[in-house]
Amino acid sequence: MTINYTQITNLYICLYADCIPVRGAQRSSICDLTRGNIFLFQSEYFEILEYLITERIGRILEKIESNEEQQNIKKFIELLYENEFITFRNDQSEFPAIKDSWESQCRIQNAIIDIDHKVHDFEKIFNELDNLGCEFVQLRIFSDLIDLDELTRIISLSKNKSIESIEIIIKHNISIPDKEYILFLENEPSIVNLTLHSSLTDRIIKINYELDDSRKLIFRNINIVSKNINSHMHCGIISIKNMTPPSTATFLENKLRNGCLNGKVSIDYNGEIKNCPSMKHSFGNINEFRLNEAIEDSRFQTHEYINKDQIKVCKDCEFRYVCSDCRAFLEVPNDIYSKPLKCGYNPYVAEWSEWHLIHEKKYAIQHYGFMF
Amino acid sequence: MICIFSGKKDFTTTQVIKWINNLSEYEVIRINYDETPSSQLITFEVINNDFTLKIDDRVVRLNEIKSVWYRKGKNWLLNFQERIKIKDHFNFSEYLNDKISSEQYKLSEYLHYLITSQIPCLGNPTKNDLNKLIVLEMAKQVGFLVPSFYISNISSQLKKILHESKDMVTKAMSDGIYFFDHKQTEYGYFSYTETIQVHELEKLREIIGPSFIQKNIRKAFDLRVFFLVDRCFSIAIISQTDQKTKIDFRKYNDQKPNRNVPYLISNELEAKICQLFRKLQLNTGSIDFVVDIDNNFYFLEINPVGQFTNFSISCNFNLEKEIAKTLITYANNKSDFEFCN
Amino acid sequence: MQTINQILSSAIRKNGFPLAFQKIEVIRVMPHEVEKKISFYNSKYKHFNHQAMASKKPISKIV
Repeated sequence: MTINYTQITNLYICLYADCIPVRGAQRSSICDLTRGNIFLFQSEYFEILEYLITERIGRILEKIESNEEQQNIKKFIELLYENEFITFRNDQSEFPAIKDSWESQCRIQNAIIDIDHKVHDFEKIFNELDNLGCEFVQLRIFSDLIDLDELTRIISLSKNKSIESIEIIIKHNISIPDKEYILFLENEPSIVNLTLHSSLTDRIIKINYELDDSRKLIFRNINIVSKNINSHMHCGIISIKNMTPPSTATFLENKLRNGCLNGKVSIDYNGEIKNCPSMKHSFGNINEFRLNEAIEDSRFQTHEYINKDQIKVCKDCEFRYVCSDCRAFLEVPNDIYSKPLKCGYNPYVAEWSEWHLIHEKKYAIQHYGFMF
Repeated sequence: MICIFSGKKDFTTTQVIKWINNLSEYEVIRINYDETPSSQLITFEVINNDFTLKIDDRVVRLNEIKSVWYRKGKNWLLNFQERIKIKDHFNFSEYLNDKISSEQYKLSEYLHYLITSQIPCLGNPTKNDLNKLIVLEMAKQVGFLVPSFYISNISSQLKKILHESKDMVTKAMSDGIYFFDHKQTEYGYFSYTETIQVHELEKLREIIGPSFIQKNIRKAFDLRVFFLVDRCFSIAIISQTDQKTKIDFRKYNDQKPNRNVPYLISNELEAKICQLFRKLQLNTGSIDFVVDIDNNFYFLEINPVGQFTNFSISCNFNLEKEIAKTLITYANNKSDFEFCN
Repeated sequence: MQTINQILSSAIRKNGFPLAFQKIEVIRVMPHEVEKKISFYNSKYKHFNHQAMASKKPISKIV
């Protein structure tokens, strides 16, 4: 794409407010909050990008001495323009930045409830979540304890409350035919995700509907995975797949709060109230305490506020504001500000590895009792 | 309590209710214009100019309502009336059905008159459907630039104008077509602002339906300003590089959505906007402009019930919280409110 | 879809409708039967959703 530099010589380069540069050690990113994309570039160009928006284009090009450097800068500008990250304006003040703040209308947005050998008092749980305005619930069932009828009963207790949708991760009962699972899903419009684990194979049952008035294909899937998810120990995986495509709300939440723990309350398989079931500290048992009391604890709230800029290694990573983080399994188990154990990305060389093979993580792996 | 008149599909209303719950102890009653009696039964009593409502099982007295938001719809507080069909008297049946509708409509107007004269309200029960042409006039009076337009029902005259000014668009004088037929055809039907060229009028008859054509502004971006009581929240919509959204940015491109970014308007523009809303006796709504490459701001229209949640989220304006705060302030200071009636 | 559009457009043009309605976009919408199956009415907030709202970020990272 050719830019006529003489035409724009008196204009400024303006980076659109929804295109946010994030500096990483080796690579940096531009998070496109509207299109949900991450654009990566070498970090040497980060300072160049910061400089490019400070002076008029003519002046910037004048100040560059070598022809080669000028060509490189122009190529960079053209790349930014092609991706529609920048425009050329006379007055930059007309386009202010997006306010750097995050707020929620609900004290608690999501809850994880684990079930293994006993069923919790769901009426109590859903009433208390309702008082906190909780919008999303994820039920993780590790054993055979709950059948589809019991699950239907539990879900019915979530009706007429603040809860907008439910995700279910449950053990696949192979003797139940696919169509019975499909019928179950079709009778419960509040289920937005159904995953059947510990199955024989990995496959997806697709239930396709038609186009709706916003031109999207409506479908509901049942995910079947062979992975044996028998406890909360399997949680905490950091990968590109688990990252959130950048959008204003999620980007700011990941930047200013803890992407995973913020607005979350959990009940582990023993009924212990925690930030997340994989963390050690309990704020009381659901049978004796109320959720709104438990979350008042200052330690509970501190966990919600630990953000990526405070976490070692993560603070130098170009993905830090699209990563939801994990405070339960840490590379240095007794340091709450160490990076997630299950993250195999090294921002200093910009390379991904299998986390469990990384030598430095051996002590932590042993500490938590992971077997490989 | 705080009362919100809306429609059941409105997501923005739900967000505002959540904020009111977060920021205050006020109970919120939501009355949707499109509920069926099975999901919302309304009974009422009017004694002189005081009324009592019963919504499902909840009794509501007029003096219990501390503030109101007219968000969306019309003719709330009335149940759906079944249409009658008298054998052999089809035309009279239709007339009777219309009669019953107008009974309902007049009563609704009266109930909302009582509400707006005694309770602080955000929004307006009868002004959701402004006359766009009259608003264009008022915008000019306040000092806004308006793209020049021409109206006629004579196709040869329209052809003549189009011959002279090549770059024109046509759009509805009321609202564009926005209709869903879920029951029979399962289609949705929409019309937008479209470019219009002379050759498109070739096969038309001489007298056609009244048609509105307007100069197409070479735009740099669209500007939408959300007005709330006395503040403006401005968003620039960068729709220009996309062929699909170039003329009407509502023809959304789902693959490559337009950028919505915050915009800083001048004090002068803000003052004119406040003036126009006061002139229209509206305390909220959204106002659309088109900004050309020379930074001229052209007024397009006002929408008293605008969709703003997408913009509110992408620009982090949190308008739903601002609306909740406004309703709570109104409720707390009922006696301070300036009533128009 | 093109056919429906063409039929509509020519019918409208024949009747001398206003220019504003000469071009109509016609798209498939969700059939009533499908909507009944996947729509979700939150009775606490009296809000009808075409499809239940899902969390924008992952709630856990166990799968």
